[in-house]
Parts: sequence; C-alpha cells; structure tokens
Amino acid sequence: MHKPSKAAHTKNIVITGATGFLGSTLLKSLENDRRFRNIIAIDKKPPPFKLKKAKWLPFDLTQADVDQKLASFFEKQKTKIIVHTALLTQPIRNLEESHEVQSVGTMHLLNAAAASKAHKLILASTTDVYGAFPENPNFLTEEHPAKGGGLSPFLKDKVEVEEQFLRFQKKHPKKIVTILRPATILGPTVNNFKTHFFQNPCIPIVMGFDPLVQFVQERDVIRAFIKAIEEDHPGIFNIVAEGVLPLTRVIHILGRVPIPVPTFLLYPAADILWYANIGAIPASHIHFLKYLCIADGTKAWHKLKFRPVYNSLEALHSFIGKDLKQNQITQRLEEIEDAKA
Amino acid sequence: MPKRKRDIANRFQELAIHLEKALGLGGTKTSRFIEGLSKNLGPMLERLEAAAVLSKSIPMDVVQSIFQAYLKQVAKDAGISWKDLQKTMEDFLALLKEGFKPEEILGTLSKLVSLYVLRGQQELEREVDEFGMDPAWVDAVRPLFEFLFRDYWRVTVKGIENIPANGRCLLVANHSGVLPFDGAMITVACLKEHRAHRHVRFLIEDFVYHFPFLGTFMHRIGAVRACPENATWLLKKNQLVLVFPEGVKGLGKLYSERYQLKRFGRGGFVKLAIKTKTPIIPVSVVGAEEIYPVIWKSNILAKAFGVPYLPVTPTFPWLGPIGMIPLPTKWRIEIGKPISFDKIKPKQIDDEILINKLSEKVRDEIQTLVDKNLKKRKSVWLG
Repeated sequence: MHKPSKAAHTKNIVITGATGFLGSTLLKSLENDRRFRNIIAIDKKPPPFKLKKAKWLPFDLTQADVDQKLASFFEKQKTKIIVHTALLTQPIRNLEESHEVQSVGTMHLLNAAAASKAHKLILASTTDVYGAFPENPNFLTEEHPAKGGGLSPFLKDKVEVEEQFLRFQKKHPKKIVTILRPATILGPTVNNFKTHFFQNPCIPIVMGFDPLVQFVQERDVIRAFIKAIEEDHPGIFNIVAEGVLPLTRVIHILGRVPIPVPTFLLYPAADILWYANIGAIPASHIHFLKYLCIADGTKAWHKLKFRPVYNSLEALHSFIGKDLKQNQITQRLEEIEDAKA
Repeated sequence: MPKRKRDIANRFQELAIHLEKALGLGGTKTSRFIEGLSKNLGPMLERLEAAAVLSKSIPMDVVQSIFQAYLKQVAKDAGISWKDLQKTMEDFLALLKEGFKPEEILGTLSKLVSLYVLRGQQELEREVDEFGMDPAWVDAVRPLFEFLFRDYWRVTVKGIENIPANGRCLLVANHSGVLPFDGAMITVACLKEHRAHRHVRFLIEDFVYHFPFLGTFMHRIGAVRACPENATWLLKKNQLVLVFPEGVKGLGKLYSERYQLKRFGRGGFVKLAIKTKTPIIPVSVVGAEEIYPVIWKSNILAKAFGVPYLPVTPTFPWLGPIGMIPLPTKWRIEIGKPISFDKIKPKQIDDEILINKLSEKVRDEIQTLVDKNLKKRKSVWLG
C-alpha cells in the first residue's frame, strides 16, 4: 500500500475548488511539476491565474443534477484521482448556503465518484474538527473523535463532510480515501479568516486564558497533498508543524497589541459584531482562543512519511516575511529524506 | 542571609507549638473540635442552603454570627478555651505577616504578575515546552514553594533514593488538601533532595482548566492535565510523572475521612504502567490532609461556581481571603520501593479483575506507608 504508485497514477487528476487558497496553490504546484498530466480544475469561477497545461471547467457542486454530469465527465476524462478542496475556508453568515456548499456539494461529488472509475479521493479538512475543549489531551491523535461540530455550524458541516468520506470508504473498500487535516495554515500567500484575525492591529484575547497554538506552513501542506496524490495512503492524517507557542507570544511576534477581554463580555460582543457584518468570526470560535486544540503529527510521519520543513515558530515567521533561506529548506528536505531511510 | 532564614523557620516552629497548645496533641482535641463542628454544622448548613435557594440570597452576616456562636460552643465541648483559640489565631496571623514579609515572597508575587502581563512581549531565552511549561515561571514560583517546603510545612522526606536517577517512572501518591499543594511539595522534594534533581510532571484534574488565570498558571509551572494520552506521551519521553489516582474525590476529602484512601479510579494508572513498562513508586504524604480541615462540602454553591465542590472549613469562607491560608502542619513524605509490573504481559491488560487487583495492591501499599507515618507522628503541628 505504501509504495509509491506507478506513473499512471499521476495523471487524470481533478481538483475541486480552484479559487480557494488550497485548491489554487495546489493547482499551481501540479502545473509546474512535469510528473502530473491531465489536470482539471472544477469550480464556479475560473482560477485566479492563467493556466498553462491544466484545464478549468465550470461546475457548481450545489446544483441538483451536477452528480450525473460529473459522473459522465469523470468517465470521459478517465479521472483517477479527485482532490476535494471546494469547501469554505471561513464561516459565512448565510448558514443555509454554508451547508449547501460543504455538505451537499460533497454528497454530489461522492455520488459521482462512486459511479466513476476514480480510485482515489483526497479531502482537505482541518484540525479544527477536533474542537478546542478544556478536556482535550495536549496532543490529539487521529483516533480522537471529531467533536468540533458541537461548537459551530461551520465546523459541524466540516465534520459531516469527513463522515461522508469515511462512509464512502466503508462502502467502497477498494477505493483509497485520504483525509488530510492541516493545522492553522500560515505562510507568505495564505489568506483566510485566521490570517485576517492576526492582521488586526489589536487582537482581542480571552482574559486569563493563554492557550498553546500550533501552525503549519503552506508549502508543507502542499507537500503533504502531493505526497497523498503520488502515493496511496488511505486514512486520516494530521498535517501539523512541530512545536507549540502560547497565543500571547504569537501576538507579540506579529507585533500586535493583545486586548484581554473577560469571557462574559467577549462572547456577546463577538456575536454582535458578527451579525453586524463587522467581525470576522462568530462567538462559537472563541473556544479556540481559550482551550487547547493541538494535533499530533506522528501518524503522518510513520505512515505517510511526511515531516514538515517548518516548525510552528518558523511558519509564523514566514507569515510576516522572515522566511527560511532556500539552502536551509533544501538541507532540511535532505535531512527528512535521510531520516526516512 | 542563612541566619534570617533559620529565624523564619524557628518562628513557624514556635507558631506550631502555639497551635498545639490551643488545639491539642496529634488530633485528640483537634479532631474532637473539628468533628464536633461537622456533626451538627453540616445539617445546619444544608438547611440554610436550601433556604437560600428558595429565597435566592444568603444573609452572610446572619450566617457568620450563627457560626461564631456555634464555634464557641463546640470549642467548649472539646475542652478548648475560646480565649486561647482566639489569641492563637491572632498570633498566627501576626506571625504570618512577618513570615510572608521577606522580599523573596513579595518578589515572587510581583514577578508572577509581571510574567503574566508582559511574558508575551519579552525576548525568550527558552521557549515554552510542548506541554506549556515556561522556565521563567518555574524560576519565579520556586522561592515561594521552597519557602512552604522548608519553613512553613517543614517537610521531611524519606526514601528519595528509591527514585532512579533517570528513566521513566510513575509516582503514585495519596491526594488531599483541597488545592494540589501535595503535588507541588513532591515536586520540590525531587528537585531539592534527589541526587539528580529530577523534574516531576504532575497530572492534575481538568476542572482547573475551566478557570481563567488558574489554568494558564498551572500549565506554565509544569502541571499537565490528567488523561491517559498525556501520561503515555510523558512516560514515552522517559519523564518522572506524578499521578493521584484518587482524583477529585481525594482532593476534597472531608476531615472525618482523612488518611483513608479513596477508590483508585478504574485502575487506569496500572494499565498505563503495564503498557509503557514503567515501574510504579508509591508515595505517602502525611500532613497535607490537615491544612484545610473540610467540615462540609456545598454542592449547590459549587454548581453555581462551576467547581466540583465548594469546601467549608473552620475559617473558609467565613474569614474571606484569610480563610484561604493553609494551616502550618508538619509534613512527612515517604517514598516507597518501586513496584514492577514486568511480569504482566501486555495481553493481560484487558483482564479487569487482574488490573483491579494490582491497583488495590498499590493502594494498600500507600495506605500502609500512610498508616506507618501516622503512627510515628505525635502531633499534627510538630510531627
């Protein structure tokens, strides 16, 4: 199972969601890599850059008849690998739309995949599905239940998407279903509600709470996805950087000002701002500023043979323009290759 | 400097003599007094609490005056002179003020506050470790805990050589004292008196992490939330881990139940030791169970505050923050011989009867150690 698969596996790839950060960055990397051929991006909107060898096709995963269209499309293209990144990167106020895009869109995609000859599905999830709770162990492994759904509708949909993928695996044991759960992604180009939160000049924190946080660098995430495309590794994998940082330390390194707010004020304030279209996150996400949600990346190393180049602190530095030097990166990559052998 | 330190220790010894005179030897008069309190005060407080729930408020001054009248009566019944008791309490507070005056204690507190406010903005020599322990916080609280260890509770440690100089080890101890001071004192004992000055990671109940400040504080000084995953992680890294299998049940023990070990959970610590091939070292702590004599626990109020129990002691909550000062009892920590489970095969981990037997064996061992030290002890205050 864990041997690199044949060259045939690196062609006929479909990426859903070509406009989001993960989808578009992955698309760019695959385009620049000669090993990958016949790459198709499907999304409502075209990708934000000019495509060289890949193709873009407009599909809306939320439409009722999209599953039949997709199935015949997969058939025609002899699609082998489907990478599903067409999910929301941040909570949106329209909960109905959120559910349609994440949960229903995934259902349509999986129905089409079941009817096709695609043999591998890769899902881009997040470690947030574990949820931040005071009773979490310091390092969450993949066996830990994804309880984050209880926190917010946004995460509930994310957990539901994962469950659909796991059910799909049970129904189709011959196909390979890989779920990658990256931690909070940081880097020079990433752009989501968490990076927006860190870009505010003043950052509200919960008074008396200073949880440890964990990141992963964007290039490491892309490396993990490419690994999952090239080789066959069914199962769930946490994709996280080594090392943890207290939240206040992160805010200091970013050069922002932390504003401690008592819990009882912060929750209603966040909700008011959220519904008034000003705040970036609803109150349900404040748990992540209070309690631990740190994942353990050991399984990714043992099974996937993936180890990040950047640790959490370096990922944070790369986010503010203090990236590692190219020779450092090459050296680390060599070290990882050595460790594998 | 050393002279002044000895001076403080002497003062606390003096204080202990005072307390012994007023409250009696090794538990005879003391226990009569406190048991007398809990006998009738419990039911009375229960009725009061029920009334408070109905009327949605407790007139605190009324409660206080009832309590004082009651206290006087019980003291008289136990053969303790009320005047003596009052005078001793005054002396105690005066001495405390002197004892706590030294710059090191104030220094600790101000350092803690500045770390809390400014830590994020300081240049760090060493980053926090993977469980959130910050070396600067540990250095800041060390003088305070060493003061408690050396002067206040005058802890004597026996059998520290039973802890190996390196390699994984699971310390299992009896739990008591409302707040986990016992964990802190065992940690200080290993740092100060062990030949390798080993660092102990102690596991504590997770309700601590629901609270602002407290949870962060405990993390930074090296406590780890008690759960099998965390314990396994630490043991795999060859750490010295301290657990209290009695958990919250032990921490909030009533005075009348002191030194009777509660059920040891469901034997999770035994499974852990077998799985990670770790020797278990029993530890007994004597003295910690009297620092806050809990005469009654309020469940209704506890729910309102989100804590597992709200203890009522002869001084708390009646005297406010002063009532939170622990009593200067004399402590003995004895560390037993390691128990190895090497002969148990990993397969047998599912044999619940066996696990329970082994867990009871460890509990018995600790209970024996506790009883032995209790027998040796002549006085709660002087050891």
